[in-house]
Amino acid sequence: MPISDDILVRKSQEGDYPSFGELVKRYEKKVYNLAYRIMGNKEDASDVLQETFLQAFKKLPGFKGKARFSTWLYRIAVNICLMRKRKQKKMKMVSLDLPILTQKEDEIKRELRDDWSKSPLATLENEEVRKSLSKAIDSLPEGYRIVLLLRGLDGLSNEETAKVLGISLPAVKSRLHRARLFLRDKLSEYFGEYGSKA
Amino acid sequence: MIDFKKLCELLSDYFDGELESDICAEVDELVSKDFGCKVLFNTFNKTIELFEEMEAEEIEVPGEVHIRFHEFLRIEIRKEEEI
Repeated sequence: MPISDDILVRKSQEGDYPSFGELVKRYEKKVYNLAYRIMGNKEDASDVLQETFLQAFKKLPGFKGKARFSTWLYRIAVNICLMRKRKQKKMKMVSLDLPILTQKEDEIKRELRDDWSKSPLATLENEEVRKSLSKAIDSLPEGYRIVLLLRGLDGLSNEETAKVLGISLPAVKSRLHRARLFLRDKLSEYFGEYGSKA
Repeated sequence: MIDFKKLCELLSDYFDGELESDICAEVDELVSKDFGCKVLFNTFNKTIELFEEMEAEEIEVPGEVHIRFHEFLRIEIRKEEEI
């Protein structure tokens, strides 16, 4: 049976470096994937990976264990990503409160004619669907995209996502829902919900 | 009573298993009777499935990144030990 994160954290706090090494081994890939998806390139993801574990190592003595180690670690990683994005000035502003444009309910209703979910083309094997989804995710405002990515990471719950981002649970749920509606809109455009490509 | 507008608001809670069973039953009933609601329900669900499938495709840490990362940590931890 593998040693729990809690035990490895406690041993690391007592100066047992191999235990910290085991934590690194467990979360290296997760943190890299999160960083890669937020930053969008290998170089930045690699830097974020290093910085995250270095900060985690330095801050570990102060970790009280109120949240899961992974939640705490992802919070460090997300903060580093956001700081780097601000520094790079790739965006005018990295905000968690940007508005999102989705259709109004009555507009959706008028246009719902085809159930593309049943189409044999509605699969990631279909490169165009994969590209449409990927493009839609990339075009989400940062605050929505990160919520979506965190929820998809390591089975994080809404509550844990709220802890990682330091925002309220209702805010997480609202952003997650609006992000999903946005992705559905974009996939519907691809499938020609209003014309039927499927 | 749930209508189309309310359904739009409830979909994430429904698929995340966060709705009371009586409200779930109302959603199910609406979806079974109204074609537009059914399409929205099914396409929303499919969107979640496709997204989760894509997210599950983990990228491997490239070999050179892995080596550089562990070398970096080894040096940094040694520095801490020396303090």
